[in-house]
Amino acid sequence: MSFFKKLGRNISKGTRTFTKKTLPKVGKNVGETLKHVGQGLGNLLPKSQTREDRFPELPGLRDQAATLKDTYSQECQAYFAAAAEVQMLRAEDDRLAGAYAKVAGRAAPRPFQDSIDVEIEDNPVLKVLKDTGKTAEGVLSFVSFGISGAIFDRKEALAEKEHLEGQIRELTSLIASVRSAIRQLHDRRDRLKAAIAETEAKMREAGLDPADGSSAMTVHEAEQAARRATAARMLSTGMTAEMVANFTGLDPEIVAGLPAEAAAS
Amino acid sequence: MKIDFEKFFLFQPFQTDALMAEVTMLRNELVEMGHTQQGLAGDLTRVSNTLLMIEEKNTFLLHLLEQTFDVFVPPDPEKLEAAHAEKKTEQYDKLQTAMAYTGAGALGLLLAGKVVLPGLAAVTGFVTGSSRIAAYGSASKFSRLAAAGKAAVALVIVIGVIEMLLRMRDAKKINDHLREKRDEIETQIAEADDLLADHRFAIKEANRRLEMILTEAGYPEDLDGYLGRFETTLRDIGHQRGHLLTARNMLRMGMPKADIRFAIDTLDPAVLDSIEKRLNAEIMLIQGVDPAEVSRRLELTTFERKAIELVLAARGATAAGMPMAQIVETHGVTPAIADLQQDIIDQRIARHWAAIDSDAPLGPVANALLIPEPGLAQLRAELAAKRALAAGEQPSGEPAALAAWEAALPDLIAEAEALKVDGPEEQVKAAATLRLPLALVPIDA
Repeated sequence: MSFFKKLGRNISKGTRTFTKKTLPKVGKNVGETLKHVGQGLGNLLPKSQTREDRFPELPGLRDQAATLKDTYSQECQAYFAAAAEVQMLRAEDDRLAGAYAKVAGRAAPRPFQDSIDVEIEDNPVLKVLKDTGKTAEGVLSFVSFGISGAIFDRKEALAEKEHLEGQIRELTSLIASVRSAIRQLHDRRDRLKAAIAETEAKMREAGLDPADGSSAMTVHEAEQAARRATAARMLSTGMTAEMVANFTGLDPEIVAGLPAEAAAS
Repeated sequence: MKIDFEKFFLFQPFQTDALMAEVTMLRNELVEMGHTQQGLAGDLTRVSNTLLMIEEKNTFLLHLLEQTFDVFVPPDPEKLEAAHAEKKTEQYDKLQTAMAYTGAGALGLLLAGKVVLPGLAAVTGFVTGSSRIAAYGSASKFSRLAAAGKAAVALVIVIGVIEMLLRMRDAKKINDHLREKRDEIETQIAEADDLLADHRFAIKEANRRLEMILTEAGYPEDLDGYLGRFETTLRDIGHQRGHLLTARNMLRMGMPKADIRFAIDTLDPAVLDSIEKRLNAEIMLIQGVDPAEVSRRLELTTFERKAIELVLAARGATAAGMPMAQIVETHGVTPAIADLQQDIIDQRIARHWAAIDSDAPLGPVANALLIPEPGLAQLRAELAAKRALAAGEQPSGEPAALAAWEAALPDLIAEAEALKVDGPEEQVKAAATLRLPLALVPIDA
């Protein structure tokens, strides 16, 4: 049956409904009447015309919106994970820089100091919430659960389509803003890692294990001091610097620079 | 946080503004909750970072002590038992199992109150605290919680629903929507509530742990004091360690004990005796003296001798290239002791690399380095195999090891070439570091 034939049949059927069932109710109140009129008109459309028939793209839009919501939620999690990682790296960087400063007698190289020092408090997720003036119209409502039936009580496919399209737009922009925040965090993370790697390299050059940090350096210094004290006592007996270096395991140059200490009795 | 939904449903359609005001308040409360979450996550990260730092320092301290004590004859467990019975310390069992052999035994003695080193008497209490910190379990669970950010996400979702209500601007619709979403809103708020409670609990627990550590060490509410004391303790141990290692080196080079005691005047004669005995045991065992004979001549108990044999076996395995984790497993030494063997080898092996990478007898090298000959023989075989592989030959040997060497070889050779060593001294150092035969480390003229 062609569409027009079907439509014609439905019009006649709709008219019958309208006259037999709807008309007698007119007069109760205007609102009710209009509702029935609407229903009657709705019945004029062929029965097979669902929302999906009018907008075949609807299921796809729904899927797309659902996927974007999941993505948004995942990106939020990723943001918090990245923020925590940066905080841990900052602590590690501080620890190493302190350790380095101690052994080198000068500050550690901090090539990215300026950018690292920026506080990480601009949480984009909560920032969106703070800007409620802007979002009162419901940016975030698009991120919430399924679309409320309340909005579509007139069952307009167009309304759902427009809503979904708006939701997809907003979610896409939200995801973009969280992703950009994550990128910034990752940038900071990479800079911190580079700073840490540089300090670690300097420490290795000094023959120290960065993993042990300042503790290792404290021990190393105390150990060397003990060896130097022993070396000084041995030098006072007239032993050659080379022999003293061999016995104490110190670098000959260090031994040569030591003053011979008068041995205590 | 609890929402009184009934309150919202009391509003009539004409009271939209009043209802909107209520919902706005609700939203503000939730946003506030989000800020609270931020603050809590920050607090949690801070305190867990502090705990991780303390944990790291204490692990380092315990390892250092184990390694420091490894210059002595390992104490017999029976002696530990006696010391333990005297002091009735709880740590004994744990340490006994965790640090079965080697220098750790001496650490056990220290913890049990039998101080081996006069200079370390002052650190005993402090070190006891360290061993307990290890038993608390890792503090990383706190930082993991702060990193999850799940509470914030739950809040974002529920705030989204509320924002949707505000968008409706119609009391009836708001109420309808609230009725429909009530369960979901309650679930999300409950989840956020739970997660915030977890945060608060974790912060409390982390702070309690921190305070316990500080109080036990005698520095209640004084982290700086504690860390300062830590530095002093490390300096004390480092100082002792410098003396002990120098004394061992002097003994090794044949300096008379009287001269050593003159040079290191703070050295206790009993300590020097123990170092000497341990050193002689190592020398005799490496030279192949019958173990029973070693025990008899040095008056070592079987346990003491076997513990020294274990360390030597671990050292041989390290030279042979066995990974540290496997050494810990197969030789029964602790990670700190396994680590120490690597350090000992790294420090001295370069000057004997040419001899190892040749056909000369390995006995003298083993004696000089105090590394068991079988371990050195394995290293020599590895170098020969690498030479053959580089020449495109197929050497005989264990297929898995050969495959691993073959796979790593091109990178190692490239690294050696990139170093552009400028003399024989640099050449052996580079070769030893990369575990390569000298022929594959060209001197850049």
